Amino acid sequence: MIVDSIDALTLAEVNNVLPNQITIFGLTVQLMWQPIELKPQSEYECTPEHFYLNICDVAAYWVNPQLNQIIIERVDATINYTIVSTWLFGTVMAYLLQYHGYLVLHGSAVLISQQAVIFSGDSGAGKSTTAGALVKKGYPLLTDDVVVVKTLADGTMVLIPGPPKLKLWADALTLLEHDSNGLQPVVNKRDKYQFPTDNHEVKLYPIGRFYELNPDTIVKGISCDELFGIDKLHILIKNTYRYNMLKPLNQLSIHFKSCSKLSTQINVFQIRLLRDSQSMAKIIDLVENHTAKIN
Amino acid sequence: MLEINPTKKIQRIDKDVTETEVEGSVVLLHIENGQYYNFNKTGSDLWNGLAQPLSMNELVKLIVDKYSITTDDCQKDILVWLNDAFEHKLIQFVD
Repeated sequence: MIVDSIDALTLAEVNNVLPNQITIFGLTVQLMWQPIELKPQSEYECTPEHFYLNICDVAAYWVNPQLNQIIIERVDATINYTIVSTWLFGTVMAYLLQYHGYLVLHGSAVLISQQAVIFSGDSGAGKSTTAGALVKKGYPLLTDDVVVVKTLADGTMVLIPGPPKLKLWADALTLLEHDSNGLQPVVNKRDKYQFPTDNHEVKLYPIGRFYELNPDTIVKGISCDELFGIDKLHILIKNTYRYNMLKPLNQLSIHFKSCSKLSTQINVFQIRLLRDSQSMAKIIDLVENHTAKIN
Repeated sequence: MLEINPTKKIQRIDKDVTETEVEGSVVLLHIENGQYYNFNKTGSDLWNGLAQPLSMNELVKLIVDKYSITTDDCQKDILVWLNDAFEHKLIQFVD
Protein backbone atom coordinates (compact mmCIF):
# COMPACT_ATOMS: atom_id res chain seq x y z
CA MET A 1 0.00 0.00 0.00
CA ILE A 2 1.44 3.35 -0.97
CA VAL A 3 1.09 6.03 1.63
CA ASP A 4 2.16 9.34 0.22
CA SER A 5 0.53 11.99 2.29
CA ILE A 6 0.52 12.85 5.95
CA ASP A 7 -3.20 12.08 6.26
CA ALA A 8 -2.70 8.61 4.89
CA LEU A 9 0.26 8.16 7.25
CA THR A 10 -1.93 8.78 10.28
CA LEU A 11 -4.57 6.48 8.82
CA ALA A 12 -1.99 3.74 8.37
CA GLU A 13 -1.17 3.94 12.03
CA VAL A 14 -4.77 3.88 13.16
CA ASN A 15 -5.47 0.87 10.95
CA ASN A 16 -2.14 -0.80 11.77
CA VAL A 17 -1.21 -0.98 8.11
CA LEU A 18 2.46 -1.24 7.12
CA PRO A 19 3.04 1.26 4.32
CA ASN A 20 5.35 0.43 1.40
CA GLN A 21 6.26 4.01 0.70
CA ILE A 22 6.17 7.22 2.66
CA THR A 23 7.07 10.80 1.91
CA ILE A 24 8.52 12.43 4.96
CA PHE A 25 10.51 15.65 5.28
CA GLY A 26 10.12 15.88 1.53
CA LEU A 27 11.93 12.59 0.88
CA THR A 28 10.08 9.65 -0.69
CA VAL A 29 11.28 6.45 0.90
CA GLN A 30 10.51 2.80 0.11
CA LEU A 31 9.78 0.65 3.15
CA MET A 32 10.31 -3.10 2.94
CA TRP A 33 8.98 -5.19 5.79
CA GLN A 34 11.12 -8.29 5.63
CA PRO A 35 14.13 -9.98 7.23
CA ILE A 36 17.47 -8.28 6.73
CA GLU A 37 20.01 -10.47 4.96
CA LEU A 38 23.60 -10.52 6.19
CA LYS A 39 23.02 -8.63 9.41
CA PRO A 40 26.13 -6.98 10.89
CA GLN A 41 27.46 -8.27 14.21
CA SER A 42 27.18 -4.89 15.87
CA GLU A 43 23.96 -3.06 16.80
CA TYR A 44 24.84 0.00 14.75
CA GLU A 45 26.73 0.76 11.55
CA CYS A 46 26.92 4.05 9.70
CA THR A 47 28.75 4.35 6.38
CA PRO A 48 28.20 6.28 3.15
CA GLU A 49 26.92 3.04 1.62
CA HIS A 50 24.51 1.84 4.29
CA PHE A 51 23.06 2.35 7.75
CA TYR A 52 22.10 -0.36 10.21
CA LEU A 53 20.39 0.01 13.56
CA ASN A 54 19.16 -2.80 15.76
CA ILE A 55 16.72 -1.86 18.53
CA CYS A 56 16.52 -4.77 20.94
CA ASP A 57 13.07 -6.41 21.23
CA VAL A 58 11.65 -4.04 18.63
CA ALA A 59 13.13 -4.06 15.13
CA ALA A 60 16.24 -3.77 13.00
CA TYR A 61 16.54 -1.15 10.29
CA TRP A 62 18.74 -1.30 7.18
CA VAL A 63 19.04 1.76 4.94
CA ASN A 64 20.24 1.82 1.33
CA PRO A 65 20.67 5.57 0.82
CA GLN A 66 21.28 5.43 -2.92
CA LEU A 67 17.83 3.90 -3.43
CA ASN A 68 16.16 5.70 -0.50
CA GLN A 69 15.15 2.25 0.67
CA ILE A 70 14.67 1.07 4.25
CA ILE A 71 14.30 -2.58 5.20
CA ILE A 72 12.58 -3.08 8.54
CA GLU A 73 12.74 -6.45 10.29
CA ARG A 74 10.37 -6.45 13.27
CA VAL A 75 10.95 -8.84 16.14
CA ASP A 76 7.36 -10.05 15.71
CA ALA A 77 3.95 -8.91 14.51
CA THR A 78 3.07 -7.23 17.81
CA ILE A 79 5.46 -4.42 16.87
CA ASN A 80 3.13 -2.09 15.01
CA TYR A 81 3.89 0.84 12.73
CA THR A 82 3.60 3.39 15.54
CA ILE A 83 6.33 1.69 17.53
CA VAL A 84 8.54 1.25 14.46
CA SER A 85 8.08 4.92 13.58
CA THR A 86 9.77 6.06 16.79
CA TRP A 87 13.20 5.23 15.36
CA LEU A 88 12.16 5.40 11.70
CA PHE A 89 11.23 9.09 11.93
CA GLY A 90 14.20 9.79 14.20
CA THR A 91 17.65 8.30 13.81
CA VAL A 92 16.92 6.35 10.62
CA MET A 93 15.50 9.30 8.67
CA ALA A 94 18.23 11.54 10.09
CA TYR A 95 20.83 9.30 8.45
CA LEU A 96 19.11 9.62 5.07
CA LEU A 97 18.62 13.35 5.45
CA GLN A 98 22.25 13.92 6.44
CA TYR A 99 23.33 11.69 3.55
CA HIS A 100 21.43 13.99 1.18
CA GLY A 101 23.09 17.06 2.69
CA TYR A 102 20.22 18.47 4.75
CA LEU A 103 20.98 20.15 8.06
CA VAL A 104 19.33 18.12 10.83
CA LEU A 105 18.98 19.66 14.28
CA HIS A 106 17.50 18.34 17.50
CA GLY A 107 14.37 20.28 18.31
CA SER A 108 10.70 21.03 17.79
CA ALA A 109 9.27 23.91 15.79
CA VAL A 110 6.04 25.85 15.46
CA LEU A 111 4.87 28.47 13.01
CA ILE A 112 4.68 32.03 14.33
CA SER A 113 3.98 34.98 12.00
CA GLN A 114 4.84 32.92 8.93
CA GLN A 115 8.24 31.92 10.29
CA ALA A 116 9.49 28.69 11.83
CA VAL A 117 10.52 29.11 15.46
CA ILE A 118 12.70 26.29 16.77
CA PHE A 119 13.00 25.02 20.36
CA SER A 120 16.09 22.97 21.01
CA GLY A 121 18.05 21.55 23.91
CA ASP A 122 18.99 18.28 25.57
CA SER A 123 16.54 15.41 26.01
CA GLY A 124 14.01 16.34 28.65
CA ALA A 125 14.74 20.06 28.36
CA GLY A 126 11.16 20.75 27.31
CA LYS A 127 11.22 21.05 23.53
CA SER A 128 8.11 18.97 22.85
CA THR A 129 6.29 20.34 25.89
CA THR A 130 6.97 23.91 24.77
CA ALA A 131 5.83 23.12 21.25
CA GLY A 132 2.71 21.49 22.70
CA ALA A 133 1.94 24.55 24.80
CA LEU A 134 2.27 26.80 21.75
CA VAL A 135 0.12 24.46 19.66
CA LYS A 136 -2.54 24.80 22.36
CA LYS A 137 -2.35 28.57 21.88
CA GLY A 138 -3.06 28.11 18.19
CA TYR A 139 0.38 28.05 16.58
CA PRO A 140 0.67 25.24 14.00
CA LEU A 141 3.17 22.48 14.73
CA LEU A 142 5.88 22.16 12.09
CA THR A 143 7.95 19.32 13.52
CA ASP A 144 8.79 17.50 16.74
CA ASP A 145 12.23 16.19 17.78
CA VAL A 146 13.80 16.38 14.31
CA VAL A 147 14.32 19.78 12.65
CA VAL A 148 15.23 19.53 8.97
CA VAL A 149 16.69 22.56 7.21
CA LYS A 150 17.25 22.90 3.51
CA THR A 151 19.19 25.58 1.64
CA LEU A 152 17.31 27.00 -1.32
CA ALA A 153 18.99 28.08 -4.54
CA ASP A 154 19.01 31.72 -3.43
CA GLY A 155 20.75 30.81 -0.18
CA THR A 156 17.69 31.14 2.09
CA MET A 157 17.47 28.37 4.64
CA VAL A 158 14.05 26.91 5.20
CA LEU A 159 12.50 24.34 7.49
CA ILE A 160 10.85 21.25 6.01
CA PRO A 161 7.88 20.20 8.16
CA GLY A 162 7.79 16.72 9.69
CA PRO A 163 5.07 14.27 10.73
CA PRO A 164 2.28 16.04 12.67
CA LYS A 165 2.92 14.36 15.99
CA LEU A 166 4.17 15.45 19.36
CA LYS A 167 5.82 13.07 21.76
CA LEU A 168 4.97 14.15 25.27
CA TRP A 169 5.71 12.84 28.72
CA ALA A 170 2.77 11.91 30.95
CA ASP A 171 3.37 14.83 33.30
CA ALA A 172 3.57 17.24 30.37
CA LEU A 173 0.24 15.89 29.14
CA THR A 174 -1.25 16.69 32.55
CA LEU A 175 0.22 20.18 32.32
CA LEU A 176 -1.44 20.64 28.97
CA GLU A 177 -4.66 19.03 30.23
CA HIS A 178 -4.78 16.03 27.99
CA ASP A 179 -5.22 12.54 29.38
CA SER A 180 -3.34 9.61 27.96
CA ASN A 181 -6.36 7.38 27.26
CA GLY A 182 -6.65 6.59 23.60
CA LEU A 183 -3.11 7.76 22.82
CA GLN A 184 -0.52 5.40 21.44
CA PRO A 185 2.40 4.71 23.77
CA VAL A 186 5.89 5.34 22.38
CA VAL A 187 8.09 2.49 23.52
CA ASN A 188 11.36 2.86 25.27
CA LYS A 189 10.55 6.33 26.56
CA ARG A 190 9.08 6.12 29.99
CA ASP A 191 5.49 7.38 29.91
CA LYS A 192 5.79 9.24 26.64
CA TYR A 193 2.78 9.28 24.34
CA GLN A 194 2.15 10.40 20.80
CA PHE A 195 -0.89 12.47 20.06
CA PRO A 196 -1.81 13.63 16.61
CA THR A 197 -2.06 17.35 16.07
CA ASP A 198 -4.44 18.90 13.64
CA ASN A 199 -2.35 20.44 10.97
CA HIS A 200 -0.57 19.03 7.96
CA GLU A 201 1.68 21.83 6.77
CA VAL A 202 3.71 20.71 3.77
CA LYS A 203 5.09 24.05 2.64
CA LEU A 204 8.64 25.21 3.35
CA TYR A 205 9.09 27.94 5.95
CA PRO A 206 11.82 30.53 6.45
CA ILE A 207 13.32 30.27 9.91
CA GLY A 208 13.11 33.19 12.26
CA ARG A 209 14.27 32.20 15.72
CA PHE A 210 16.07 29.42 17.55
CA TYR A 211 15.73 29.00 21.30
CA GLU A 212 17.94 26.62 23.28
CA LEU A 213 16.15 25.50 26.43
CA ASN A 214 18.20 24.84 29.56
CA PRO A 215 16.50 23.66 32.74
CA ASP A 216 18.11 25.44 35.66
CA THR A 217 17.60 25.14 39.40
CA ILE A 218 19.27 28.43 40.28
CA VAL A 219 17.60 30.92 37.99
CA LYS A 220 14.59 32.80 39.36
CA GLY A 221 11.88 31.94 36.89
CA ILE A 222 13.31 32.47 33.42
CA SER A 223 16.28 34.20 31.84
CA CYS A 224 16.94 34.69 28.16
CA ASP A 225 20.11 35.85 26.41
CA GLU A 226 20.43 36.56 22.73
CA LEU A 227 23.63 35.14 21.24
CA PHE A 228 25.84 36.65 18.57
CA GLY A 229 28.74 35.72 16.33
CA ILE A 230 30.62 32.55 17.10
CA ASP A 231 28.33 31.73 20.05
CA LYS A 232 25.41 31.38 17.65
CA LEU A 233 27.35 28.99 15.46
CA HIS A 234 28.41 26.99 18.49
CA ILE A 235 24.82 26.52 19.71
CA LEU A 236 23.61 25.32 16.32
CA ILE A 237 26.47 22.81 16.02
CA LYS A 238 25.91 21.68 19.60
CA ASN A 239 22.21 20.97 18.94
CA THR A 240 22.75 18.90 15.84
CA TYR A 241 20.75 15.68 15.61
CA ARG A 242 23.03 12.62 15.78
CA TYR A 243 26.19 14.65 15.23
CA ASN A 244 28.26 11.47 15.32
CA MET A 245 26.85 10.33 11.96
CA LEU A 246 28.32 13.29 10.07
CA LYS A 247 31.94 12.15 10.00
CA PRO A 248 31.29 8.61 8.70
CA LEU A 249 29.01 10.17 6.09
CA ASN A 250 31.70 12.68 5.04
CA GLN A 251 29.18 15.46 5.67
CA LEU A 252 31.05 17.35 8.40
CA SER A 253 32.10 20.06 6.00
CA ILE A 254 28.64 20.68 4.54
CA HIS A 255 27.14 20.60 8.02
CA PHE A 256 29.62 23.20 9.24
CA LYS A 257 28.90 25.52 6.33
CA SER A 258 25.15 25.07 6.77
CA CYS A 259 25.28 25.95 10.46
CA SER A 260 27.41 28.96 9.64
CA LYS A 261 24.97 30.14 6.98
CA LEU A 262 21.97 29.55 9.25
CA SER A 263 23.59 31.54 12.03
CA THR A 264 23.68 34.58 9.75
CA GLN A 265 19.96 34.33 8.92
CA ILE A 266 18.26 33.82 12.28
CA ASN A 267 18.18 35.10 15.86
CA VAL A 268 19.49 32.64 18.44
CA PHE A 269 18.59 32.73 22.14
CA GLN A 270 19.63 30.75 25.17
CA ILE A 271 16.88 30.32 27.76
CA ARG A 272 17.43 29.17 31.32
CA LEU A 273 14.35 28.26 33.26
CA LEU A 274 13.16 26.75 36.46
CA ARG A 275 10.91 23.79 35.64
CA ASP A 276 7.70 24.34 37.58
CA SER A 277 4.01 24.81 36.88
CA GLN A 278 4.70 28.35 35.64
CA SER A 279 7.48 27.60 33.20
CA MET A 280 5.31 27.04 30.11
CA ALA A 281 3.38 30.26 30.67
CA LYS A 282 6.68 32.11 31.04
CA ILE A 283 8.14 30.71 27.84
CA ILE A 284 4.99 31.55 25.90
CA ASP A 285 5.08 35.12 27.23
CA LEU A 286 8.71 35.48 26.28
CA VAL A 287 8.24 34.07 22.79
CA GLU A 288 5.17 36.24 22.15
CA ASN A 289 6.99 39.35 23.39
CA HIS A 290 9.80 38.62 20.97
CA THR A 291 7.27 38.21 18.18
CA ALA A 292 5.73 41.58 19.04
CA LYS A 293 9.16 43.27 19.02
CA ILE A 294 10.05 41.83 15.65
CA ASN A 295 6.77 42.81 13.97
CA MET B 1 57.93 27.42 21.98
CA LEU B 2 59.00 26.17 18.58
CA GLU B 3 61.92 28.00 16.97
CA ILE B 4 60.61 29.20 13.65
CA ASN B 5 62.97 30.04 10.80
CA PRO B 6 61.61 33.48 9.89
CA THR B 7 62.49 33.18 6.23
CA LYS B 8 61.10 29.73 5.59
CA LYS B 9 57.78 29.65 3.72
CA ILE B 10 54.71 28.43 5.59
CA GLN B 11 51.53 27.08 4.00
CA ARG B 12 48.05 26.06 5.18
CA ILE B 13 47.09 22.39 5.34
CA ASP B 14 43.84 22.97 3.47
CA LYS B 15 42.87 19.42 2.73
CA ASP B 16 41.71 18.62 6.25
CA VAL B 17 40.09 21.94 6.96
CA THR B 18 36.78 23.62 6.14
CA GLU B 19 36.52 27.31 6.78
CA THR B 20 33.78 29.82 7.18
CA GLU B 21 33.54 33.42 8.28
CA VAL B 22 31.39 34.61 11.15
CA GLU B 23 31.13 38.40 11.54
CA GLY B 24 34.54 38.95 9.99
CA SER B 25 36.34 36.23 11.95
CA VAL B 26 37.59 33.01 10.43
CA VAL B 27 36.23 29.81 11.95
CA LEU B 28 37.78 26.51 10.94
CA LEU B 29 36.62 22.94 11.24
CA HIS B 30 39.45 20.40 11.22
CA ILE B 31 37.69 17.38 9.75
CA GLU B 32 40.15 14.78 10.99
CA ASN B 33 40.20 15.71 14.65
CA GLY B 34 36.71 17.23 14.69
CA GLN B 35 37.93 20.41 16.38
CA TYR B 36 36.66 23.89 15.71
CA TYR B 37 39.02 26.89 15.75
CA ASN B 38 37.94 30.48 16.04
CA PHE B 39 40.49 33.17 15.18
CA ASN B 40 40.39 36.73 16.41
CA LYS B 41 40.93 39.62 13.99
CA THR B 42 44.69 39.22 13.69
CA GLY B 43 44.51 35.44 13.56
CA SER B 44 42.00 35.76 10.74
CA ASP B 45 44.35 38.14 8.91
CA LEU B 46 47.20 35.65 9.28
CA TRP B 47 45.09 32.72 8.09
CA ASN B 48 43.78 34.70 5.13
CA GLY B 49 47.31 35.91 4.37
CA LEU B 50 48.45 32.30 4.18
CA ALA B 51 46.18 31.75 1.19
CA GLN B 52 49.58 31.69 -0.46
CA PRO B 53 52.79 30.50 1.21
CA LEU B 54 54.48 33.23 3.27
CA SER B 55 57.37 33.27 5.67
CA MET B 56 57.07 34.52 9.23
CA ASN B 57 58.84 37.73 8.25
CA GLU B 58 56.33 38.28 5.49
CA LEU B 59 53.42 37.65 7.87
CA VAL B 60 54.82 40.18 10.32
CA LYS B 61 55.11 42.70 7.51
CA LEU B 62 51.52 42.04 6.50
CA ILE B 63 50.24 42.87 9.98
CA VAL B 64 52.58 45.83 10.44
CA ASP B 65 51.41 47.32 7.14
CA LYS B 66 47.75 46.68 7.81
CA TYR B 67 47.61 48.15 11.29
CA SER B 68 50.42 50.69 11.12
CA ILE B 69 52.13 49.27 14.18
CA THR B 70 55.74 48.38 14.86
CA THR B 71 57.34 45.01 14.28
CA ASP B 72 58.08 44.72 18.00
CA ASP B 73 54.41 45.13 18.84
CA CYS B 74 53.26 42.13 16.88
CA GLN B 75 56.16 39.74 16.33
CA LYS B 76 55.77 37.87 19.61
CA ASP B 77 52.00 37.43 19.17
CA ILE B 78 52.48 36.17 15.64
CA LEU B 79 55.05 33.67 16.88
CA VAL B 80 52.55 32.39 19.45
CA TRP B 81 49.83 32.09 16.79
CA LEU B 82 52.15 30.21 14.49
CA ASN B 83 53.16 27.84 17.24
CA ASP B 84 49.53 27.05 18.01
CA ALA B 85 48.69 26.60 14.35
CA PHE B 86 51.65 24.23 13.85
CA GLU B 87 50.69 22.27 16.94
CA HIS B 88 47.12 21.82 15.73
CA LYS B 89 48.31 20.81 12.26
CA LEU B 90 46.65 23.75 10.56
CA ILE B 91 49.89 24.87 8.89
CA GLN B 92 53.22 23.37 7.84
CA PHE B 93 56.51 24.47 6.31
CA VAL B 94 56.75 24.28 2.55
CA ASP B 95 59.25 21.58 1.61
